[in-house]
Amino acid sequence: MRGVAGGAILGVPLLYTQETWLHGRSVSPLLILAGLTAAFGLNIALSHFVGFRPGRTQRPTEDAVVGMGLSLLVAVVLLVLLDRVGQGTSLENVVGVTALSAIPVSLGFAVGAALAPKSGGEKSEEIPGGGGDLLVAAAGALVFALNIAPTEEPILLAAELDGVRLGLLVVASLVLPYLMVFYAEFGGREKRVASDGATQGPLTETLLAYVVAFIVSAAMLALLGRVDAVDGAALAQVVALAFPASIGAALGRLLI
Amino acid sequence: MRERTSLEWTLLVVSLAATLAVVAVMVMSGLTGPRGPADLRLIVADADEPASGGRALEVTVTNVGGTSAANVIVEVTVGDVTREMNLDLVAKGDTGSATVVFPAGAAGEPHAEVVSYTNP
Repeated sequence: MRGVAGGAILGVPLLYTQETWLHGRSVSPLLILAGLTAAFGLNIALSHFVGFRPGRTQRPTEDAVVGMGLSLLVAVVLLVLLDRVGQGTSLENVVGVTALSAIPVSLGFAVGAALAPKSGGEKSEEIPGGGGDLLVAAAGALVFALNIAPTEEPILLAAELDGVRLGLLVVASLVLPYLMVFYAEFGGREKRVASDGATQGPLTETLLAYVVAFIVSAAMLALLGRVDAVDGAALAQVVALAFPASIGAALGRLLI
Repeated sequence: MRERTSLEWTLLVVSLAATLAVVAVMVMSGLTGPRGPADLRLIVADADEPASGGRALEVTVTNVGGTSAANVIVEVTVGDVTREMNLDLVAKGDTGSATVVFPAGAAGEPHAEVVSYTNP
């Protein structure tokens, strides 16, 4: 799970990039394969020094294989969810887009163990629980949303995704951050799970963090003039942007 | 070195299978796939569902060439009436479609042709 979390953090921004969808279909499969091979070599090196199993890097090649394989599976699931591959897409193009998207995901896998400091960031203990968690969630969401909100992708995805996929995107925006923060064995997990208070149970905190990511996404889109009415189209755009923002919110809570 | 758990074995086998499958498809398509420029084939058929105000024709574009085609412009003619449609991208091996609407009285066999495309 630590590897999946790392992969989501590094890979989601690229999954939200039209050029990835385009080049995965246009570039020669052999060139993409060369990139994948280079990434695999880098994964072996990173798995030797960092990896996604803290203190268990005796099998870096095996870890790199697991990281690469699971990255391919995570990438294809997210691409299907975002309707970037599906009916009308040839197998060659499904594999091309998936392989290109899997490269940063696999690198995130290989550095998964290093993504969150064991005792939290410096001065993190001074941040009050509850409200403090939501503050760092908002900061993380803002970082990810800022990178994607000015681009065409949220609008494009909102226009093309049907209601079922948007619903599944909301589910993914809740489940993935929940697993990242409370299930993956990052430093401080026990402390996060054991936290009490009205806003600090795992489920409550996950829901509130999504609400924060949703509000940040809506605010970013409104600020950039992307939404100017409260309607279905605006809601779809916010849901599309809230997915990467929720990953950012989870990363914020992991880091601080 | 400790023994692998059953979950680790499962993840290793699944990951290896996924990676090998992707490599196999990429090598096969890279070595044996179509080469050369985009080759766009068109199929025009009456749409299943009626369009408001006219006769809807669904135009399906399949790229059987070795290069993707962007900004594909297709001209569809029924009798004296002509409509134009645009597809952002029809990647090599992929299929794209769009619907054009003619006046309700436009009868006869539709004719479609690719006007232009660019290389992405």
